[in-house]
Amino acid sequence: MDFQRGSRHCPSSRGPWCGKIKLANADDLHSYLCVSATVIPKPTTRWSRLLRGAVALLACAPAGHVAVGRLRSWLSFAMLVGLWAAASAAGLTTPFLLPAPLAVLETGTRLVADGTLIGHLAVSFVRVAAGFALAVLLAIPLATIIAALAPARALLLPPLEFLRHVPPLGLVPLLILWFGIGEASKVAVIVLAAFFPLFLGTLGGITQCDPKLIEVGRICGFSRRAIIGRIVVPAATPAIIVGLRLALGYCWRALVGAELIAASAGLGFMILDAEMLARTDIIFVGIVTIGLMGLAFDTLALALTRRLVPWVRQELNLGRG
Amino acid sequence: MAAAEPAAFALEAITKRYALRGRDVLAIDRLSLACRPGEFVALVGRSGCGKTTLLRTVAGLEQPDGGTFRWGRPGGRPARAAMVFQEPRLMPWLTVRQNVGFGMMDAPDRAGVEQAVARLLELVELSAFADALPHQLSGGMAQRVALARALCLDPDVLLMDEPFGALDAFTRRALQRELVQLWLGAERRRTVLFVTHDVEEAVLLAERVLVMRAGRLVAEVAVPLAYPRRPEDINVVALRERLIDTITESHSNERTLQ
Repeated sequence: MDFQRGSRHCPSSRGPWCGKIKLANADDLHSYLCVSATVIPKPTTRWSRLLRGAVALLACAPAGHVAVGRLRSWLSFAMLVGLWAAASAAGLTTPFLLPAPLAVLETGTRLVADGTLIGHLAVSFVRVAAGFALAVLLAIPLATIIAALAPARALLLPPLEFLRHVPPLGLVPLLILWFGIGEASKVAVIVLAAFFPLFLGTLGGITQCDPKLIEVGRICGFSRRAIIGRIVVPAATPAIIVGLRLALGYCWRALVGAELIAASAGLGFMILDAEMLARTDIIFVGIVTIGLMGLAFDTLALALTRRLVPWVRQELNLGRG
Repeated sequence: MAAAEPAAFALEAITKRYALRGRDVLAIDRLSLACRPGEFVALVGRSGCGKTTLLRTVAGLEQPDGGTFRWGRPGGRPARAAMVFQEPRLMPWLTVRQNVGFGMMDAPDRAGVEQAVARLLELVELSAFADALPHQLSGGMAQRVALARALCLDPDVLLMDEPFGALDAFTRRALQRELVQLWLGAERRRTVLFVTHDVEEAVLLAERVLVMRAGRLVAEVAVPLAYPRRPEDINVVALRERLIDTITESHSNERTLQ
């Protein structure tokens, strides 16, 4: 398990040699990467040495180690910000196009202090929560019905397949006509964005249920309904959870898009408003906030997953440290 | 094979066909078989000879295309059957305890089921793992859970489809011993129909070994040896060799046997 995680997510394993070697375990990977690091020509300047040190730490740390893994993910962020700060300090960028990190931080602190950021965030958050909840209530039962009843599948799947290929943002003008400029049209965009990952995740999870487990239910003399409730739906849970996580990400993206087009509050509006006022620092505050919120949601979802469905721990943890 | 006492179950001229890429394949060919209550019968044969299909027909997982199938009525009520598959087939989201009691979810007597589960866990020596999840178990442990789950249904007939086929030799030997003890030790002996391609396993476990080939029963060998049997026992070896000869015989010989 360690090896799998290491090989997929250790940055160095994405090099050109990736896939050409077979390593038996995490230790092998570790030593292999360390060896490959020493083969590369020695660094010359102080900066490049520091960079190489950081890269080596990112690459060579034992993949399964929790503390090192956490340090590693923070380090990659720190390097990015460091690079940004260095470029700003060296005068490589104009503050209008790329404000310094410190300036963004100051603006952010001010926006938090005067309540602007929290206000916009709250508005966006409520929209996402409402849209996401509606999508869950719509998509999961619908997918279950379609999976269980062949006539429903024949009737509903083709139009849904059609709708799936229309990006939610492309429907915004229509949704505004239908639902007005208020909250309803924004929530509708989010519902559309979250619906398909949820729907397809649930449908896939149910239709791919191992028929061997269903046979156990038949041997036990269960009714069709009992087999669905006791075997098929629990077996689909991992796929449903993946759908939930994907949907949450899609929600955020669609929301900000919808707010960019027509809104008077929310993070997307804040960004657009800042653009009109040429306040690049506020745009950056908005971007960072959106990213952090997405990250926070996903971390929360993952923590809940670990608690609620411990049997899928291995499968879902692959993506995160 | 005509038993005086009522059979635990009986098949008469059962036929089962498959459509395989447009071709019609005869998996079971007018096969008749009856098992006495409490009897341990092993069904051996090469892969693809129809033995698993036969077992699945008895289990009700396949519908025969012809012939009749009859359950006995032990004590006047319909017979209960349980099946152990080649793979454990445990529900990965349930603990060992919940998996063992899985088939008894609808039983009104919750306390009774819980007691039965605890007793069965003790029987298969997994009490310490009652709250573990299936992915934490070894293959042998998982298969013991599957056996306990089948026994929890309190079946009259236990159907086993190469249940130890995927296990290592040591675990397999241990589980064979356990199975014989469970079968002998029960207050009311269960009928066991045990499918395997391991002839030695069949001789070690069963009272009667049936040889199947191309959808038909081609030989029947009684194993009148006392339990526990040991694989190096001269009688076990002799029977094993005889059965292997029977299974590998040419088609011309098969006809004379019938």
